[in-house]
This record gives sequence, structure tokens and C-alpha cells, in this order.
Amino acid sequence: MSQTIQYVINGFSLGSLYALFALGIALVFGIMGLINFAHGELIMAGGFALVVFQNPSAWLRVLLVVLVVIVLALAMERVAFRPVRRADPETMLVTSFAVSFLLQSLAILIFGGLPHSVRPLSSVSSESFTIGGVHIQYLDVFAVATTVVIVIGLGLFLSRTTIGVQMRAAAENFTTARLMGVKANTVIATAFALSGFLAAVACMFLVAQTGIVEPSIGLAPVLAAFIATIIGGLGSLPGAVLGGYLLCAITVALQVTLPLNLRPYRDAFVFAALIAILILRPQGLLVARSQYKRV
Amino acid sequence: MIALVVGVVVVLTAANVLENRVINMLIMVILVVGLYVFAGNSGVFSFGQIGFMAIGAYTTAIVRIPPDTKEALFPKLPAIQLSPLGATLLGGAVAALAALLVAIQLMRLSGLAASLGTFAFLNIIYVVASNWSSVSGGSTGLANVPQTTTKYTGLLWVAIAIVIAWLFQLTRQCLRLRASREDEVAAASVGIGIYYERIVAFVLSGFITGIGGALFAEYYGTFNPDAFFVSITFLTVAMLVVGGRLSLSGAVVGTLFITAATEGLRRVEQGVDLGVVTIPARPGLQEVGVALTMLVVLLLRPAGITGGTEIKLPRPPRARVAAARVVEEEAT
Repeated sequence: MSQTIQYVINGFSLGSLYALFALGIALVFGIMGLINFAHGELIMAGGFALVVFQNPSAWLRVLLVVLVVIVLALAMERVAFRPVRRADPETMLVTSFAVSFLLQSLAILIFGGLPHSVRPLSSVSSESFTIGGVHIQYLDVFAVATTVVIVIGLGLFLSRTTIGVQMRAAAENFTTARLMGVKANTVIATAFALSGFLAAVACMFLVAQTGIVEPSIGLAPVLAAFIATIIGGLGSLPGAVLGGYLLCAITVALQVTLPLNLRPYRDAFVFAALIAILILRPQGLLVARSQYKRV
Repeated sequence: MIALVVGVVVVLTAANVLENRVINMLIMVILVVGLYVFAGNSGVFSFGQIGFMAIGAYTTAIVRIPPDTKEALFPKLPAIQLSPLGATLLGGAVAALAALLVAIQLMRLSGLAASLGTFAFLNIIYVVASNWSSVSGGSTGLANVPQTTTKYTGLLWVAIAIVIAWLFQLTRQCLRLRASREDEVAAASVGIGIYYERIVAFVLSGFITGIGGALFAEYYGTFNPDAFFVSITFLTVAMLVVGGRLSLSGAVVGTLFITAATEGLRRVEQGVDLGVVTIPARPGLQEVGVALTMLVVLLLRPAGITGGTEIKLPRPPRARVAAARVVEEEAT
């Protein structure tokens, strides 16, 4: 029993990370219809920022990481995605592959292909406490709490600020929003900056858990986020969060219930479950209003 | 299209390229043409075709590994043996069968949901291949497949794949599928069964990709599941989109273009002496260069190099005059 609870707690912590990654991807997708595979390289950039800035105090490091990732996200938008904004979704997707290849190869060129170890942000990340035989890491609690704060903050930002409302309008119907005076460049840049911020935060938790940074660090999270956003309903922000936690829930449930000889195949079952969800609800669990087809 | 094949031959014989690069390129052409048959014609992007490549490769390997090696290294494999040609065809056929089973489930989906579904299929194949040790050799993979793929068999299969894709494009079936690509709702409203049309293209695509996998196994001899996962999926998708995903010429041109860029940059990376200036060796430069090239092409030509048009042989002048006359007569 306590083992199951352990799994659930770890699942919640990992699910929070997935939710943060998925939110970043969903924000950009909602507004410009781009699935940004290079989101993984924002995570990577954050990781290498932690490697480069080993010495400053914890708060300064956090600030520097967030700054580096946001600047990179904005640069990505300006240089690579603005010219293909009007192209079809496949071209945009492959452009993001190319950006992702480019940044990864640059990282290999600069830092080498081998993993770097990172000095943790604070000593708390490795400590844990015990309730009723269950070990809980402070890091996990902190990850879940931060995610909750960020999700609420993002909700307030989107509903209470002018730019937030403009972003929602643009996500619903980009052309109409522009006709109403919403500046396309501003909302898209804001979406990228926000997605960079989310990537930076999630990256710090990811690196705190693993302790290492390597050029391919972003691939697994971005794939998980891609899955989470689609099962949650592409373009829907609550859907992305739900998708992130659901993906983790399925993984944990299978880990607990599968017989031992089938356990190595767990991921195959996760993906089979994913196909089942897609067939039952192709539009995702929560449908964003912009995704309804008008004929 | 035939011009392209001839072009490939010229490249093969003229360029002083290592044989393994050439064969690798030929296999990539088959894979990208396979991807194009489905993704280009239906407009639904598939990230799962490499799963069929894996199925083709494993099937072929299982019937090609010599009996004594099989007994020593992989005792649980069936004892069937086939000729290289038979094994290649079997690889394609098994992949096509798998594609049929997948398509029956997944082709009900459209757009990104379908793409994600195919990606999930790729992952399932990867996990199964990595763990089903008695058949797939687990994460170490299979070894000792006789290396029977040569430049010429490779070229022959490239020609066959291109001709199949081209003939398919001439059928009504494909025309209906392309109509559904342009407008799903309108196509359905004139009675096109999109589900059925997509299944046909998906199975054909699975067959071609399976052949590509079979040739891959018969060329490298040793492989493991990592050869059939995300990186080659991205590479094939990138080749198709850079070339122009709406035409068969685009599939071939994209593959040739990216292979040429990779090969050229690989040489620059080793250091070049241009007489006046010497570019020093710089490992890692190749990947950066390839990514930059792709990015520049996409930014300048978002619809790909060919922009969705086919490269055609110039018509002989007499035929052109005759065609013009027909048009004039119809007009009057």
C-alpha cells in the first residue's frame, strides 16, 4: 500500500513537470498553430545555463536561467518562426525540427555530447521526510506547489490583464482579433516568452531530479508534452494540464498493475492506451473553442 | 520522374562518393518515397512509417541469418530460410500487413490526432523490439545478416519504389485521396470514402517502407531498435518537407538535397585546403550546417524546393504542337 502511495506521489511530481511542458507548447499552438518541437531545446538551454552559472547564489542562478531561456524563446520566434507564420502546420512543425536540430548540434559543438553534472540549486532538493512509511522528497512537494501557483498565475494573467485577454482572443480567432486591433507580433512574442518561462521553471525541477545536463535532455519531455497536449485537446490550456497529469496517471497505474513479466513493455501499453483515447475522443478531452471546425 | 532516376544513376557513377554513402542514400530515397505515398497524397503526416521499416528489417533478418549462426546466437528464431529477393519481398509484405492492421484502427482519425496515433505506433514497435529478446534480440538487436544489398539492387528498388508511387498517383483512387487532402469536408460530400482511401495509401506506403527496411537489414547486417526510432523519423520527415511534400519529385529531391548537404559538410568538417585559405577541421560542424541549410530552405521556400510540382521530362516539340491543337479545337 505504502509503495502505491509512493508511486502516486512521484507520479504527481512528474505529472506537474509534464503539465508545465505541455502548457508551454499549448500556449504557442493556441495562438499560431505551431507545434514547437524546439521547446525541448529551451529546456536544454536552461540546463546548460545552470551548468555555466555554477557559482552565483541560488536566486541569481534562477533569474539567469529564466532570462536565458526567455531570450532564446524570443529569438527563436523572431528568426525562425515569424517567416513561416503563414505556412501550413507541417512546414511550421518541420521548421521547429530544424531549429531543434540546430540548437542541439550547437550545444554539442560548444559543450560536447557527454552529460555534465550540475551543482544543485539548494541542498533541500535531495532531502526528504517520512509520513506513515512513505518517503516524500521536498523537491516533489515544491514541484507540485510551484505548478499549482503557476497555473493559477497564468489563469489570472490570461483573464485579468489586457495582453492576456488579447492572447485569448487571438487564440480563438486570429484574424478577427487582428481586425479588433490586437497586435499579432506582440501576442505571439508574449506567448513565446511565457512558454520560455514555463520551460525554464520545469527545466530547473528536471535537472534537480536528475542532476545532469546533456544535449538530448529535451527530447523525452517534449515528446511527453506533445502527447499530453493532444490527449488534453490541442490549444486548450486546461486540457494541457489535464493531459500531463493523465499521462502520468496512466503510466503509474500500469507500473503498479502490470504483472512482472509484462512490466518491461509498460510504455507499449501506455501508447496503446493513448491510441484508444485518440480513437474515442479524436479532438482531445477538452476541446478548445478555436478547434471547432467551421464549414 | 524517369529523369530523376537517370539523375540518380549519373550521381552514382560520376561523383566520387563512398559506396556506403550511396547505398545509404538509396535506402533513404525508398523510405522517403514510402512516406510520401501516404503523407503527401493524404495530407496526414505520419510519424510511424519507420515502424514499418523496423518490421521489414526484422522480418528479413529472421529469414536471412544463416542457420548455424541462428542456432548459436538466436535459438528461438524460426528455421525458415529465403533468398535475398524473397526475404526483401517478405519484409515488404509483412510490413504491408502490419500497416493494414494499424490503418484499420488509425485511419478514422484526421489531422494531428492521426499523426500522434502513428507516433504512438512507432513507440509501441520500439518498446516491443527492445524487449522481445527471443525474436528481436532485445536492445542489442540482430546480427550476421548476409550483406547482399549492393548499389545496383538498391538502385533497382529505388526505381521500383518510384514507379509504384508514380503509377499510384495516376489512379482514380489517388485522385480521390488528394481531393480529401485539399478539403476533407467537400471530398466527403461528393461521396469519397476518406477512411477507405487512406487505408489503401497507408498499406502501399507500409509496403514500400518495409522494403526499405529489408534492404537496410541486408546492407548493414547488424542493427538494433535505436536504428528505427525518433532520429530517422525526423530525418525522413525533414527530407520530405524540404523537398516539397506535395509531389513525388519533392520526396526524391529532398532526399538528394539533404544527403548532398550532409556529405558536402562532412568533408568540410574534416578540413579543406582551398589553396589560398585552409578551413580547419571542426567536428560537429556538419550537423550545425545541415540544420542551418534546412532552416534556410524552409524560410525561403515554405512549400519545399519543388513547391509541390512534379519535374517532368520536356515533351518532344511535335507532341506539344499536337496537344496545343487539341486544346484549340476544344476551345472552338
